Amino acid sequence: MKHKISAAAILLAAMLLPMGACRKPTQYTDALTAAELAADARAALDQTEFFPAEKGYLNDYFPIPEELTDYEIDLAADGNNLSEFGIWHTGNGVESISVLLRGYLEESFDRNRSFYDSYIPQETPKLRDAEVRVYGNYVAYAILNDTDRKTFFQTIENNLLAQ
Amino acid sequence: MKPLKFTVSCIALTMTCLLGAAAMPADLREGGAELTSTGDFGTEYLDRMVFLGESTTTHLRARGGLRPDQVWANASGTMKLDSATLSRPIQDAATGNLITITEAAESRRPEYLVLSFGLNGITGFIQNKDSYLNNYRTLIERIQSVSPSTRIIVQSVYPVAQASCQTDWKFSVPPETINAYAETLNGWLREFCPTLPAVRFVDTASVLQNEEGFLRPDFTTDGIHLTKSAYDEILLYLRTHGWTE
Repeated sequence: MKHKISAAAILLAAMLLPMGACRKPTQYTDALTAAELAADARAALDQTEFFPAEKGYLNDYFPIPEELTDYEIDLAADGNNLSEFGIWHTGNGVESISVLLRGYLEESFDRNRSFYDSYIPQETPKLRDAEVRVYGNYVAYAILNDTDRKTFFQTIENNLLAQ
Repeated sequence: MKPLKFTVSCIALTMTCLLGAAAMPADLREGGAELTSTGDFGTEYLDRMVFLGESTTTHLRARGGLRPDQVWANASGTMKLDSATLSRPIQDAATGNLITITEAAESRRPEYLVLSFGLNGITGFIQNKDSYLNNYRTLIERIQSVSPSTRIIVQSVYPVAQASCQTDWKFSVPPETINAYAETLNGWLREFCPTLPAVRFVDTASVLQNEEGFLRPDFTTDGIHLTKSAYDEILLYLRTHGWTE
């Protein structure tokens, strides 16, 4: 009898477990602009001074679709610092932008690694470990050290969940 | 790529570069938009110049005897020409503030802006001529859009010294290949400069080379970077290849 109850309990748990995985997808707001998120990110990463990049910043890697206007890329002002992040706000294009950004990060590392290693080798790991994440209609990438990268993505997510 | 195949590819590319440079029309080698020999325009002419480029340009501050505000640079002291160049701030020598190249050109409006890009990233540029020249064009056009009277002088890409002089070689190919690549880029720049208004090419690299095209050993500290005497020769070349209309 004891074994039958245990087996039933196991069977019940096995039936219920997948249902836990069928959670509602995380609801992120669509109400914030990339500039607003970037401003909060800069405030959170307050040990570094950031400069906004120009429109053609990624031209060597991919042309940014003309319809995509709500984005911002910030780079560390100090020429010895590779820190950089970017935030895109897009409706249907989230997946394609995230693919393009992953390509940018990989290609930038390949192309620029030896140049950066020649004078700021301590910075190159930021580019090697760079990451892209998607939050609803937003794509964000970070070329930051481990601590700042965590802070950056946490800030973005907190902002997009809080609305 | 296997070592033998890589070596053969390097040799083939080097030969192609050398043959391409030799086939260039004579007028582009000897004149056209290239600054040719003149009398000595003197130090007053140099005083009207601002320099922007890679580490070999930044070192003009310490070894070239120029005023700090004549050399635009960022905190790292080096740059690479790419689509990010106009986004990355430089340091305003007068205020210490960080400003973009565009802002510097707009506020300073130099009479002459001497550019030097090509060695940093050369192994990529040699495979993508359009990207290299388009980024140079974007930089020049931006500067001229905010400072229309600025005359742009594009320097030839400097050579590197032979392997025995190199103390910290970072390129993936040997020095002679880098120099062959530099000659190819210089050929591109000779053709490129006449396509833009108020842009001239100047072959300052020529005063740095020995008979084999390597950077002279007495002109370098580490096989790539330059000594004071090298900068003296570069600046003298600029003075004696002045911009005449």
